Amino acid sequence: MSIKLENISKTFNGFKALDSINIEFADGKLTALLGPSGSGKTTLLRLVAGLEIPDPDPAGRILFNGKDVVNEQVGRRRVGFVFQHYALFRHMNVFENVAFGMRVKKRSERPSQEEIRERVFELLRLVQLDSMYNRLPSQLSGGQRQRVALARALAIRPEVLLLDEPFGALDAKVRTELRRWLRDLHERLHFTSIFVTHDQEEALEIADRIVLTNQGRIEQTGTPEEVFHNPANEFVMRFLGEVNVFHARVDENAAGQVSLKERGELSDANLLIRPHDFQIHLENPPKGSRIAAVIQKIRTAGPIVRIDMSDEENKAILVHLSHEEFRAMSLACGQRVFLTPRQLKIYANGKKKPK
Amino acid sequence: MEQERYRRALRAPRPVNILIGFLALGFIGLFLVLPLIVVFSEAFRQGLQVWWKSISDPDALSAIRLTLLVALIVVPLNTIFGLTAGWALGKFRFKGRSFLITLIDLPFSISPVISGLIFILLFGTYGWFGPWLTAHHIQIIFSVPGIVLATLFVTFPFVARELIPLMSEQGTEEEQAALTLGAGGWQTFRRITLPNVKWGLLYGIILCNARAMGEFGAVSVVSGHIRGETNTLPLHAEILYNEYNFTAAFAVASLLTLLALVTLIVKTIVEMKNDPRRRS
Repeated sequence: MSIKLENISKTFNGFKALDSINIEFADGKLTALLGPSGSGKTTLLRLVAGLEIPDPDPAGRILFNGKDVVNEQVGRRRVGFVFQHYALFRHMNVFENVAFGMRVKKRSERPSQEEIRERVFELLRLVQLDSMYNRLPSQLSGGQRQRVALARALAIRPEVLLLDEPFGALDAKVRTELRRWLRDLHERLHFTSIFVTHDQEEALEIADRIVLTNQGRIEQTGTPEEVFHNPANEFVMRFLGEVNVFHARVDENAAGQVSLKERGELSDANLLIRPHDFQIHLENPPKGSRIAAVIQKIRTAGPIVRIDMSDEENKAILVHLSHEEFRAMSLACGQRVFLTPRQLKIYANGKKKPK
Repeated sequence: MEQERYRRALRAPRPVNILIGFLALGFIGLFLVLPLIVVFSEAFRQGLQVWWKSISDPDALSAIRLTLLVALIVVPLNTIFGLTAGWALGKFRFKGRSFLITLIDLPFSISPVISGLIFILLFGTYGWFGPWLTAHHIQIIFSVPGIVLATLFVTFPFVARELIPLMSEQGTEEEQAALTLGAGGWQTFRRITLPNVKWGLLYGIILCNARAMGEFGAVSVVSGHIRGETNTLPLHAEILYNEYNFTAAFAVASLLTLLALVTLIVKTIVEMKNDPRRRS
């Protein structure tokens, strides 16, 4: 099912959580709503579910397969919703939690006891918890609880699955396991899924598409590759990973040439370089822009080598190297080196500057 | 070894321990156990038969009936009110919420005698609505409706006080989950909200009931002490005592004490079931 939001705004007590949002979620895709806390991503998800009502003026539309559902109640939208803190029914065991959505159906639509039983166990096998069917939520670990919550949401055969920071409350190891598992599940079941996260790594790893939100607006939409390699603005670039920011000056006289700002100069653009986009030189390279820096700290524990440096103005610079590169260079703390960027992005006043 | 040393360092010398222990036991004995023993020994001083005669006396039976009737009206009403208040004030945030919570506590902070007087001033012969009530031949003060009203007022906060913090702590996420799964408002309340607070609710009802049956001050003011008509158990006990009919007074008092003991036992069981270690 495709979902389309047209001109949707949401205000809480005068605070504009969402400001005239227009966006489309394609059928069968796994989309990540990514942004800092307070950016409106959860509100957006809750609007789709029907747990919030959009501002009536100006009137916006929420379309499910082209049909406006703004006035449709939560229960009638057939969305599976997974909450950050699971929201399992604490007084019901795992079986009853999953069965709930079927038990509350109208008598004429309600499946028989036997059908409910079969469906619940089918779902519990899917989330690998069929042996725990009679446990209470309080007797489960966080990861198990979230899997029960997912099975419960799937029990109503939803056409859309909405997940609000589903792995936010879990520890790192369980989180990576569960997100791979969710990706697999999505591949098998193939419905439209939207999940909210503030973890860019999570979004880049499992989403088909990423929607970046900030201060109630959408900053960029695209595939993980698009948003990572072509960030639309400085916010997106900063949010999608570690980055070094240098203040720069655009020289209008020299055909818009950009140079790093000297001490005392006003800066009118930011120059952004990712830590892995630096080339390290032991000798001063003959030409081109370069930054002189002193190595402060080297951390080799981990998949990459992380080096903290400081430039002449004592500003911190972070550089990432592969272990191979690092071994070939034999660097040491206190050593003076020169950095040249392999790749950089320039944004004037937060907007992208054509180069 | 290390632990044992710490434990020894934290322990007081033996004589002090014994002294503190006896002090505590003495206090409990003097102020809690002894009164209980006195009530029952006085009640049965002249034998089981006299005790039975005292409580099967027509006036005593009428007092028992009235006390039960009042509790039967007041407890369900305040249960419904408490649930409504707990739901509205616990699950939602709105302007004036804390003012309402304070207002619900009002009956706790007012002396019961004043509570009774309020109703006299409102519904008594010379009260605000007195002339109108007289004209329509409606008697509230010095009759059963007044007793019910006064008891209703005094026991107003018990259920609500129990439920507001509980429902507030539980939040609305489970209800939202139920809604996304297709449950209606009533289904959500019956299957999710109510079961989640059942022990707290029961606890509130027990306290409300104990107070409704035992209330003295407010009821005393509005009842008029008409024997066989407007006397509740506590009032009846007082009248007997004032007439130097000590054994009968203690017999009636023993009934109220028994009620208190049963309440305490039920309350303890509910608290055990309600143990946070058994909840999520």
